[in-house]
Amino acid sequence: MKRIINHPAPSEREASGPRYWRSLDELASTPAFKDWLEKEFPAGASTLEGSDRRSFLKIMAASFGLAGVGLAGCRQQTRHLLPYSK
Amino acid sequence: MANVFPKWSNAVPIKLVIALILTVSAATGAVWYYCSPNYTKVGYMPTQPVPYSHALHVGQLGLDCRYCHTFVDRSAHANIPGPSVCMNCHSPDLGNILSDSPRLAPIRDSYASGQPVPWIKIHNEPDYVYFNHAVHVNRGVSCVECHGQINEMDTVAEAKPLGMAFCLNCHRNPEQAVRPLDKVFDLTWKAESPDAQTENGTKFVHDWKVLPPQSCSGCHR
Repeated sequence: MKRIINHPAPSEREASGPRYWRSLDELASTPAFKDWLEKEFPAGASTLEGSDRRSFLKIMAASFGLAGVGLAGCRQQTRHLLPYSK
Repeated sequence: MANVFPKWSNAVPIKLVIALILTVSAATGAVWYYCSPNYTKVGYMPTQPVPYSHALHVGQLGLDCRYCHTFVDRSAHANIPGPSVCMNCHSPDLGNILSDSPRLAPIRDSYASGQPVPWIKIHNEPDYVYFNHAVHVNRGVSCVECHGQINEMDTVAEAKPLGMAFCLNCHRNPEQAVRPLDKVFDLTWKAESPDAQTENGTKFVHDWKVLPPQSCSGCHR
Protein backbone atom coordinates (compact mmCIF):
# COMPACT_ATOMS: atom_id res chain seq x y z
CA MET A 1 0.00 0.00 0.00
CA LYS A 2 1.40 3.35 -0.91
CA ARG A 3 1.59 5.78 1.90
CA ILE A 4 0.32 9.22 1.15
CA ILE A 5 1.82 11.97 3.22
CA ASN A 6 0.01 15.20 3.27
CA HIS A 7 2.54 17.92 3.63
CA PRO A 8 1.17 21.26 4.64
CA ALA A 9 0.77 23.51 1.66
CA PRO A 10 3.50 26.16 1.44
CA SER A 11 2.47 29.57 2.49
CA GLU A 12 2.42 32.34 -0.03
CA ARG A 13 5.68 33.74 1.27
CA GLU A 14 7.39 30.34 1.09
CA ALA A 15 6.19 29.74 -2.45
CA SER A 16 7.47 32.98 -3.77
CA GLY A 17 10.50 33.35 -1.54
CA PRO A 18 11.67 36.62 -0.15
CA ARG A 19 11.79 39.34 -2.77
CA TYR A 20 15.22 40.88 -2.99
CA TRP A 21 15.91 43.97 -4.99
CA ARG A 22 19.21 45.02 -6.43
CA SER A 23 18.67 48.71 -6.91
CA LEU A 24 16.28 51.38 -5.84
CA ASP A 25 15.08 51.60 -9.45
CA GLU A 26 14.12 47.95 -9.37
CA LEU A 27 12.30 48.41 -6.09
CA ALA A 28 10.44 51.41 -7.49
CA SER A 29 9.82 49.44 -10.71
CA THR A 30 8.93 52.40 -12.88
CA PRO A 31 7.86 51.70 -16.47
CA ALA A 32 10.88 53.56 -17.85
CA PHE A 33 13.21 51.37 -15.84
CA LYS A 34 11.47 48.16 -16.91
CA ASP A 35 11.73 49.26 -20.51
CA TRP A 36 15.45 49.94 -20.13
CA LEU A 37 15.99 46.61 -18.35
CA GLU A 38 14.43 44.54 -21.09
CA LYS A 39 16.60 45.92 -23.84
CA GLU A 40 19.86 43.98 -24.11
CA PHE A 41 22.01 46.94 -25.09
CA PRO A 42 21.54 50.61 -24.34
CA ALA A 43 20.05 52.70 -27.07
CA GLY A 44 22.35 53.26 -30.01
CA ALA A 45 24.93 50.65 -29.01
CA SER A 46 24.33 48.44 -32.02
CA THR A 47 24.39 51.20 -34.62
CA LEU A 48 27.54 53.29 -34.73
CA GLU A 49 27.56 56.51 -36.67
CA GLY A 50 28.78 55.83 -40.20
CA SER A 51 30.09 52.34 -39.54
CA ASP A 52 28.68 49.04 -38.50
CA ARG A 53 29.75 46.95 -35.56
CA ARG A 54 31.46 44.27 -37.66
CA SER A 55 33.88 46.58 -39.40
CA PHE A 56 34.52 48.43 -36.16
CA LEU A 57 35.51 45.19 -34.45
CA LYS A 58 37.63 44.16 -37.44
CA ILE A 59 39.59 47.39 -37.36
CA MET A 60 40.00 47.33 -33.62
CA ALA A 61 41.24 43.72 -33.70
CA ALA A 62 43.77 44.64 -36.36
CA SER A 63 44.88 47.63 -34.30
CA PHE A 64 45.41 45.58 -31.18
CA GLY A 65 47.23 42.91 -33.17
CA LEU A 66 49.60 45.37 -34.80
CA ALA A 67 50.19 47.18 -31.54
CA GLY A 68 51.26 43.95 -29.91
CA VAL A 69 53.33 42.63 -32.81
CA GLY A 70 55.78 45.27 -33.70
CA LEU A 71 55.30 48.75 -32.47
CA ALA A 72 54.98 48.97 -28.73
CA GLY A 73 57.15 46.20 -27.33
CA CYS A 74 60.39 46.99 -29.12
CA ARG A 75 62.07 49.24 -26.64
CA GLN A 76 63.27 48.28 -23.23
CA GLN A 77 61.36 49.98 -20.49
CA THR A 78 63.31 52.88 -18.99
CA ARG A 79 63.75 52.44 -15.27
CA HIS A 80 65.09 55.18 -13.08
CA LEU A 81 67.29 55.06 -10.03
CA LEU A 82 66.49 57.95 -7.75
CA PRO A 83 69.01 58.32 -4.93
CA TYR A 84 68.10 59.98 -1.68
CA SER A 85 69.35 63.49 -2.07
CA LYS A 86 68.52 65.50 1.00
CA MET B 1 42.58 6.43 -67.29
CA ALA B 2 44.69 9.56 -67.05
CA ASN B 3 46.84 10.13 -64.00
CA VAL B 4 45.05 12.13 -61.36
CA PHE B 5 48.22 13.72 -59.97
CA PRO B 6 51.00 15.06 -62.23
CA LYS B 7 54.48 13.58 -61.95
CA TRP B 8 55.95 16.47 -59.91
CA SER B 9 53.59 15.72 -57.07
CA ASN B 10 55.82 12.74 -56.16
CA ALA B 11 58.36 15.20 -54.74
CA VAL B 12 55.85 17.25 -52.76
CA PRO B 13 55.94 15.30 -49.47
CA ILE B 14 59.73 15.32 -49.16
CA LYS B 15 59.82 19.02 -50.05
CA LEU B 16 57.18 19.75 -47.46
CA VAL B 17 59.13 17.88 -44.80
CA ILE B 18 62.34 19.74 -45.64
CA ALA B 19 60.58 23.09 -45.62
CA LEU B 20 58.99 22.27 -42.28
CA ILE B 21 62.32 21.28 -40.74
CA LEU B 22 63.99 24.46 -42.00
CA THR B 23 61.18 26.68 -40.75
CA VAL B 24 61.06 25.10 -37.31
CA SER B 25 64.85 25.23 -36.97
CA ALA B 26 64.94 28.89 -37.97
CA ALA B 27 62.14 29.77 -35.55
CA THR B 28 63.79 27.84 -32.72
CA GLY B 29 67.14 29.46 -33.39
CA ALA B 30 65.63 32.92 -33.56
CA VAL B 31 63.79 32.53 -30.26
CA TRP B 32 66.84 30.89 -28.70
CA TYR B 33 69.00 33.91 -29.47
CA TYR B 34 66.72 36.92 -29.76
CA CYS B 35 64.65 36.10 -26.66
CA SER B 36 67.66 35.42 -24.45
CA PRO B 37 69.33 38.03 -22.23
CA ASN B 38 72.41 37.70 -24.43
CA TYR B 39 70.48 39.72 -26.99
CA THR B 40 67.93 41.62 -24.91
CA LYS B 41 70.20 42.87 -22.13
CA VAL B 42 73.87 42.81 -23.08
CA GLY B 43 74.99 46.11 -24.52
CA TYR B 44 72.20 48.23 -23.05
CA MET B 45 73.82 51.67 -22.83
CA PRO B 46 71.31 54.43 -22.08
CA THR B 47 72.30 58.08 -22.01
CA GLN B 48 72.49 59.21 -18.41
CA PRO B 49 71.44 62.69 -17.23
CA VAL B 50 75.06 63.34 -16.23
CA PRO B 51 77.82 61.77 -18.37
CA TYR B 52 79.66 60.30 -15.39
CA SER B 53 82.70 58.37 -16.56
CA HIS B 54 83.76 55.35 -14.53
CA ALA B 55 86.83 55.11 -16.76
CA LEU B 56 87.98 58.52 -15.54
CA HIS B 57 87.01 58.28 -11.87
CA VAL B 58 87.87 54.64 -11.24
CA GLY B 59 90.28 53.74 -14.02
CA GLN B 60 92.43 56.87 -14.01
CA LEU B 61 91.90 58.46 -10.59
CA GLY B 62 91.60 55.17 -8.72
CA LEU B 63 88.42 55.91 -6.78
CA ASP B 64 87.25 52.90 -4.78
CA CYS B 65 83.85 51.47 -5.70
CA ARG B 66 82.69 51.96 -2.13
CA TYR B 67 83.37 55.69 -2.13
CA CYS B 68 80.09 56.13 -4.02
CA HIS B 69 78.39 52.73 -3.75
CA THR B 70 78.83 52.95 -0.01
CA PHE B 71 76.75 50.05 1.22
CA VAL B 72 77.62 47.45 -1.38
CA ASP B 73 79.51 45.34 1.18
CA ARG B 74 76.94 45.82 3.94
CA SER B 75 73.55 45.67 2.24
CA ALA B 76 71.68 43.71 -0.36
CA HIS B 77 71.58 46.73 -2.64
CA ALA B 78 74.51 48.65 -4.06
CA ASN B 79 73.29 52.16 -3.50
CA ILE B 80 73.52 54.97 -6.05
CA PRO B 81 75.21 57.99 -4.46
CA GLY B 82 73.29 61.16 -3.81
CA PRO B 83 74.49 64.50 -5.15
CA SER B 84 76.29 65.31 -1.89
CA VAL B 85 78.89 62.63 -2.72
CA CYS B 86 79.63 64.31 -6.06
CA MET B 87 79.73 67.68 -4.36
CA ASN B 88 82.57 66.54 -2.09
CA CYS B 89 84.85 67.30 -5.03
CA HIS B 90 82.71 69.27 -7.45
CA SER B 91 81.32 71.90 -5.12
CA PRO B 92 82.88 75.39 -5.17
CA ASP B 93 83.21 75.25 -1.39
CA LEU B 94 85.00 71.92 -1.08
CA GLY B 95 86.98 70.51 -3.97
CA ASN B 96 86.14 73.15 -6.56
CA ILE B 97 86.78 70.77 -9.43
CA LEU B 98 84.77 71.76 -12.52
CA SER B 99 82.33 73.39 -10.14
CA ASP B 100 80.84 75.54 -12.92
CA SER B 101 80.71 72.83 -15.59
CA PRO B 102 77.35 72.82 -17.39
CA ARG B 103 77.48 69.02 -17.58
CA LEU B 104 77.30 68.91 -13.79
CA ALA B 105 74.29 71.21 -13.65
CA PRO B 106 71.83 68.38 -12.80
CA ILE B 107 74.00 67.48 -9.80
CA ARG B 108 74.09 71.06 -8.53
CA ASP B 109 70.36 71.47 -9.11
CA SER B 110 69.67 68.25 -7.24
CA TYR B 111 71.95 69.31 -4.41
CA ALA B 112 70.19 72.64 -4.13
CA SER B 113 66.60 71.46 -4.57
CA GLY B 114 66.63 68.00 -3.01
CA GLN B 115 65.06 66.45 -6.10
CA PRO B 116 67.00 63.30 -7.09
CA VAL B 117 68.97 63.03 -10.32
CA PRO B 118 66.99 60.62 -12.53
CA TRP B 119 69.73 58.10 -13.30
CA ILE B 120 68.64 55.36 -15.67
CA LYS B 121 68.86 51.86 -14.31
CA ILE B 122 70.93 49.49 -16.44
CA HIS B 123 71.46 46.29 -14.49
CA ASN B 124 67.98 45.15 -13.59
CA GLU B 125 66.86 41.85 -12.16
CA PRO B 126 63.15 41.07 -12.12
CA ASP B 127 61.30 41.37 -8.83
CA TYR B 128 61.12 37.59 -8.51
CA VAL B 129 64.90 37.34 -8.27
CA TYR B 130 66.61 37.89 -4.94
CA PHE B 131 70.15 39.15 -5.23
CA ASN B 132 72.30 40.26 -2.32
CA HIS B 133 75.36 42.34 -3.16
CA ALA B 134 76.95 42.11 0.29
CA VAL B 135 77.04 38.33 0.46
CA HIS B 136 78.77 38.08 -2.90
CA VAL B 137 81.26 40.87 -2.29
CA ASN B 138 82.16 39.54 1.15
CA ARG B 139 82.86 36.08 -0.25
CA GLY B 140 85.37 37.21 -2.84
CA VAL B 141 83.12 37.72 -5.86
CA SER B 142 84.38 40.86 -7.51
CA CYS B 143 82.24 43.53 -9.17
CA VAL B 144 83.70 42.61 -12.56
CA GLU B 145 82.22 39.11 -12.44
CA CYS B 146 78.75 40.53 -13.11
CA HIS B 147 79.32 44.13 -14.20
CA GLY B 148 82.32 43.64 -16.49
CA GLN B 149 85.21 46.06 -16.69
CA ILE B 150 83.36 49.04 -15.23
CA ASN B 151 86.71 50.77 -14.70
CA GLU B 152 87.14 51.00 -18.47
CA MET B 153 83.65 52.23 -19.33
CA ASP B 154 83.08 55.89 -20.19
CA THR B 155 79.38 55.17 -20.40
CA VAL B 156 78.22 52.19 -18.40
CA ALA B 157 76.67 49.40 -20.42
CA GLU B 158 75.46 46.00 -19.37
CA ALA B 159 78.34 43.64 -20.07
CA LYS B 160 77.03 40.26 -18.93
CA PRO B 161 73.63 38.68 -19.62
CA LEU B 162 72.72 38.41 -15.89
CA GLY B 163 70.15 35.76 -16.68
CA MET B 164 69.51 32.57 -14.78
CA ALA B 165 72.01 30.57 -16.85
CA PHE B 166 74.66 33.17 -16.05
CA CYS B 167 73.95 32.99 -12.31
CA LEU B 168 73.85 29.20 -12.22
CA ASN B 169 77.05 28.88 -14.21
CA CYS B 170 78.87 30.62 -11.39
CA HIS B 171 76.90 28.98 -8.57
CA ARG B 172 77.92 25.60 -9.97
CA ASN B 173 81.61 26.52 -10.33
CA PRO B 174 82.26 29.13 -7.64
CA GLU B 175 85.99 28.39 -7.60
CA GLN B 176 86.26 30.10 -10.99
CA ALA B 177 84.99 33.40 -9.58
CA VAL B 178 86.14 33.86 -5.99
CA ARG B 179 89.31 35.85 -5.44
CA PRO B 180 91.30 37.09 -2.42
CA LEU B 181 89.12 39.37 -0.32
CA ASP B 182 91.47 42.34 -0.65
CA LYS B 183 91.24 42.16 -4.45
CA VAL B 184 87.45 42.27 -4.71
CA PHE B 185 87.38 45.99 -5.50
CA ASP B 186 90.58 45.85 -7.56
CA LEU B 187 88.89 45.66 -10.92
CA THR B 188 92.11 45.12 -12.83
CA TRP B 189 93.23 42.10 -10.78
CA LYS B 190 93.54 38.81 -12.59
CA ALA B 191 94.79 35.47 -11.32
CA GLU B 192 98.26 34.60 -12.58
CA SER B 193 96.86 31.71 -14.57
CA PRO B 194 93.65 29.71 -14.95
CA ASP B 195 95.28 26.93 -12.92
CA ALA B 196 96.12 29.32 -10.10
CA GLN B 197 92.54 30.62 -10.15
CA THR B 198 91.17 27.10 -9.86
CA GLU B 199 93.61 26.12 -7.14
CA ASN B 200 93.16 29.24 -5.01
CA GLY B 201 89.43 29.36 -5.75
CA THR B 202 88.95 25.78 -4.56
CA LYS B 203 90.85 26.63 -1.39
CA PHE B 204 88.77 29.77 -0.74
CA VAL B 205 85.51 27.94 -1.41
CA HIS B 206 86.51 25.34 1.17
CA ASP B 207 87.97 27.71 3.77
CA TRP B 208 85.17 30.30 3.61
CA LYS B 209 82.47 27.64 3.39
CA VAL B 210 81.09 29.12 0.20
CA LEU B 211 77.90 27.21 -0.55
CA PRO B 212 76.19 28.93 -3.46
CA PRO B 213 72.57 27.71 -3.58
CA GLN B 214 71.42 25.92 -6.69
CA SER B 215 67.88 25.23 -5.53
CA CYS B 216 65.03 27.35 -6.90
CA SER B 217 64.35 28.96 -3.56
CA GLY B 218 67.92 30.18 -3.28
CA CYS B 219 67.10 33.11 -5.52
CA HIS B 220 63.33 32.86 -6.13
CA ARG B 221 62.40 33.24 -2.52
